[in-house]
Amino acid sequence: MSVLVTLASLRALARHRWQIALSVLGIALGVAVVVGIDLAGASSLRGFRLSTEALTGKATHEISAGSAGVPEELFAQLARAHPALAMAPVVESLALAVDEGGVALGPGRTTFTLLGVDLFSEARLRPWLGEGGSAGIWDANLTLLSEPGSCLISAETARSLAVERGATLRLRVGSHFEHVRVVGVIVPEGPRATLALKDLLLVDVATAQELTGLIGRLTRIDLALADDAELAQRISASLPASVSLRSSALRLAGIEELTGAFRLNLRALSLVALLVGMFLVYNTMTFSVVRRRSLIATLRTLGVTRARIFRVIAAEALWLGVIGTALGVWLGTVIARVLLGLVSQTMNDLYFASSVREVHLDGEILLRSVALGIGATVIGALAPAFEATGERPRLGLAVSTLESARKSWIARLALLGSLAICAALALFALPAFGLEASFVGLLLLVLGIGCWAPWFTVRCARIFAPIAGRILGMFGRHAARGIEAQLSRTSVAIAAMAVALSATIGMGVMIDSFRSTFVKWLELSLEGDVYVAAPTLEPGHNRSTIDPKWVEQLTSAPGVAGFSTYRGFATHSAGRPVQGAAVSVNAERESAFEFSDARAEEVWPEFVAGDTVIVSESFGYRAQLGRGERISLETDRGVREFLILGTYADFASEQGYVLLSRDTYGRWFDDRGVTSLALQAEPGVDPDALVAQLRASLPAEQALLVRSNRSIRESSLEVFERTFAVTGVLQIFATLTAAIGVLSALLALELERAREIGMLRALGVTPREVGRLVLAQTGMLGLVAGLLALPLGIAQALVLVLVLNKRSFGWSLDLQVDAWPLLTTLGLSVAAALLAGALPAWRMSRARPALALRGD
Amino acid sequence: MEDTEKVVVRLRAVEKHYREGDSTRRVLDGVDLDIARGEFLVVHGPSGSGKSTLLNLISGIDLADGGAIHVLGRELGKISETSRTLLRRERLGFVFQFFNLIPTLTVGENLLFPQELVGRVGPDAVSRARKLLDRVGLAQRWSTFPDRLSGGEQQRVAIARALAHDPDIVLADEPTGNLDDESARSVVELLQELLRPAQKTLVLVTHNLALGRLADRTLRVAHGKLAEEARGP
Repeated sequence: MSVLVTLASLRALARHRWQIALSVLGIALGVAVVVGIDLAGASSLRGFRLSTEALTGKATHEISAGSAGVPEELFAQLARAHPALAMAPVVESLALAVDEGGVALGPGRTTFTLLGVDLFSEARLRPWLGEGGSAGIWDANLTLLSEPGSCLISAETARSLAVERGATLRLRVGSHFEHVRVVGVIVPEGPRATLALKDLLLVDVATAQELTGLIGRLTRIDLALADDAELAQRISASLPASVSLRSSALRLAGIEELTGAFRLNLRALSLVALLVGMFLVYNTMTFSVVRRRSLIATLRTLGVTRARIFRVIAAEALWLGVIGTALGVWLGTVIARVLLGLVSQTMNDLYFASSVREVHLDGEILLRSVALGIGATVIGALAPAFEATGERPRLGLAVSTLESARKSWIARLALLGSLAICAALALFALPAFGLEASFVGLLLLVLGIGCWAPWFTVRCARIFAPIAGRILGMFGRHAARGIEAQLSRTSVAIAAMAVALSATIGMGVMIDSFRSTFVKWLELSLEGDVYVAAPTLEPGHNRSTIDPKWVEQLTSAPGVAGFSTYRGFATHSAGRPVQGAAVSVNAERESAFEFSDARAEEVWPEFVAGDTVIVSESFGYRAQLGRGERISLETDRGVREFLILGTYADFASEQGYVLLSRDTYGRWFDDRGVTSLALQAEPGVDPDALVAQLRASLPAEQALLVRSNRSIRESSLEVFERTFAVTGVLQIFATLTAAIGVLSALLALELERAREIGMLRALGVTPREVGRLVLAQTGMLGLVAGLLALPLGIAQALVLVLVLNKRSFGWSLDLQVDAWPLLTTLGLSVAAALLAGALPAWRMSRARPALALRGD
Repeated sequence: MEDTEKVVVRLRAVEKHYREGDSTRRVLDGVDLDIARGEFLVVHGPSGSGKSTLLNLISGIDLADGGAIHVLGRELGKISETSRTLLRRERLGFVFQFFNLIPTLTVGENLLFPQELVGRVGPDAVSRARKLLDRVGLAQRWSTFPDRLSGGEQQRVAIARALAHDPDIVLADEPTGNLDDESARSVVELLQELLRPAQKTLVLVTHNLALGRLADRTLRVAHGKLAEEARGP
């Protein structure tokens, strides 16, 4: 009997292929977006992680210092003191292969890692570099030693740059152009060597020192200490104050932590599409249960148990979930390839240099997405399954009767929604809850407001009815009241649409708020008319330097009235990496800062005089530090404590900055470099003309960036727009899924209204009028969804701006709500609904009235 | 012209068949029929005999597979779908077994709906609808939604709706099928009472043989043919 029950049920379900197909598509799109985002994010990070791990080799620790680097004598001392210890000196930098015009070579403007190594020290740390590594590497390495200015590249790199052995490569390293000769092209053997040699320019340590300007210094010393904590402690204690020993893994962990909030934000957004897909499953399963009410009643009358019916419905949902998820996972890998470029670009703009071109199919992500897709489908089907089994076995129960029964749920559902909203508010209000809790809160808020959809729909339909009646006559009135009459179908479609649109509004308002705050900040912080900077290939922070003679020449050039300097540096605080900057202060620069916890006139005198710092808002938020507190920094004179004078607004980097005055920096650090200059033009001097004049005065070997205030502002806004480009793609997917939801609901309504349409046709309503009636109703559905999306979207925007941005990045944004995007969303809602309604309207208008009247 | 004045519906050699799996079932097989203006015609027959099909063909919501159907002088097979719809909305009225009132419109609005379709709106339309509702004894239920009415009441509203736009012919498909005997009789009497004085034609399809006694003529459909039944004493 159980097989027959399943068969009877499946055959009934199979009559509605459209519904099933749309539901599967909804789930597939939801899962695809989740998979796509996760795979793109993880692939981007994985590329960086694997190449870092491969380059780190067997090293467990590193000895490093600030911008000045580690003195190379230290390596010799350590080697003498610990002859058995595996260690190697490293000079590492980023480099760009360029043509004679300075234009980057290779696909996608590849950034190379310039790695300077000592061949004889490498065997125990990076065996792939030593004898027995890839074919020919040992001989080629020997050439590196004998030929200054030579380099090794992998065969893949040689192909991408179209160079061969013996060719000369022009490189941009920091602010200099340099030349290296390719003395060997290596075909890597084994995956580790392949990864390590990818986008790598391998040079001798002495060549690297010349190319980077770190004469007599090293970027770091890599050591393999295994788990010998005691040895680590002894080495650490023997080091001079300016250098420190730390775990190699910390570098990678820092990047993963830094990108965590960005990836979490993307993942949360991708879940919106899945949530919308869940509404679709709920809709389809409810519809399938309603359509089979007669069959279910018959089966129950014949003695089939409730549990059996439940199992049949649940199994159907499970299958929908499995098929939809399988399709979604495949589609997700396709989407990941599309999104990889966008996500990688953002990672490159903000976090780390990496050139990932392939999506890695991460098993964990795929499994998690499969569980998520199937789980969401089953959850979406639970309510209809319970409804099917809860029904008393009564035959021929009219749909209208079921609708009346469901109306009694409106108030209870709204109450449930209110509870969810209260829980969400509690998660937002209490600072003890972290970022993940905020996303749970956001989900509760969306579901909570979604629970109000039936109530809101009824109210809107009642308001629309007389208005529509006045405009469209009885058709309008009928269309508006039909929304209420088929509430179980229409309200789910409206909720799905509203959730998708609200995400658009929420993200839109958040991006607008961010943009307006960012523009205000740019205007405030770009105090100079012209900026000169040493270019960097390291995203997020610039530590390159301008040759001191050019600093002198540029600041005394005709037309320059004044200047201030900026020096970026890296250090550590309590073992954690800190981005620092030393700034010279003048009246213009003082006006470029806005403090959230201090008055400017209190800050500046002390900032210049004492061992004090100011910190950016995001740094203060992450470190939980503010005005009046102290921060310890590793300096060239050892660890020192600095008083924090204030917290300032800054959007240049999400890890934030610690700012010292140039004088304070000079007291505690040996480095005298300048990363960038802000120049004030003399009155009457056109900044663009000054830019041209300064560029012309620079020699060809200097790769300095000379840009006007306006040009920096424009390029900053370009990066800003690129960062949010991926959210636009996600919004399109969420809205597409919602439109499918509306289409699915309307097709369900078409079947349920067949008799009504037949009767209208019998009364003399023309097919065109039927079409208009259906479109009027779908237009109203879209309008209700749009109206519901407005408060939901603004609530999401508030959460994104006031809670999530703060908890993710530590930024305070000014909320900016413009009427135009809201009206556009409302229009989009109506347009999407009308578009989704076109097919059902056409089908209903073509329905043969005689057939429609015959069947119930 | 004179013929059209007297005969409002004319069927000649009308055929209708349905495909059922691999076979074809002839529902109407060469049917001839004339229905005169003001006539009250009852059609009865067993389930599936083609009674409702006959009504659907006369109303133009379905098309014959053979023969010709003239309604109010127009041959339905030779005019467009839109023309058939307009003919239906202007000159025909429909009463269904399941009442088929528009659930989202009030009783009053259900009566205004067919009038609006023919362009009659405003106080005149409201006045006519109110009068009709009064005639069917439901004047107090103007603002009530159909689901608040009993089956008998709903059918009376459906009758009023069928007459609201002043049609020439009313087609009633099992209008008493869902009602008890007493309600059924009162519904048919109401139809007669409203239609006779205005010389409207009524074609009523029913299972209920007893209703035939109230008709001018009774036809039986069986095996695709129409047969006139002799009136009893």
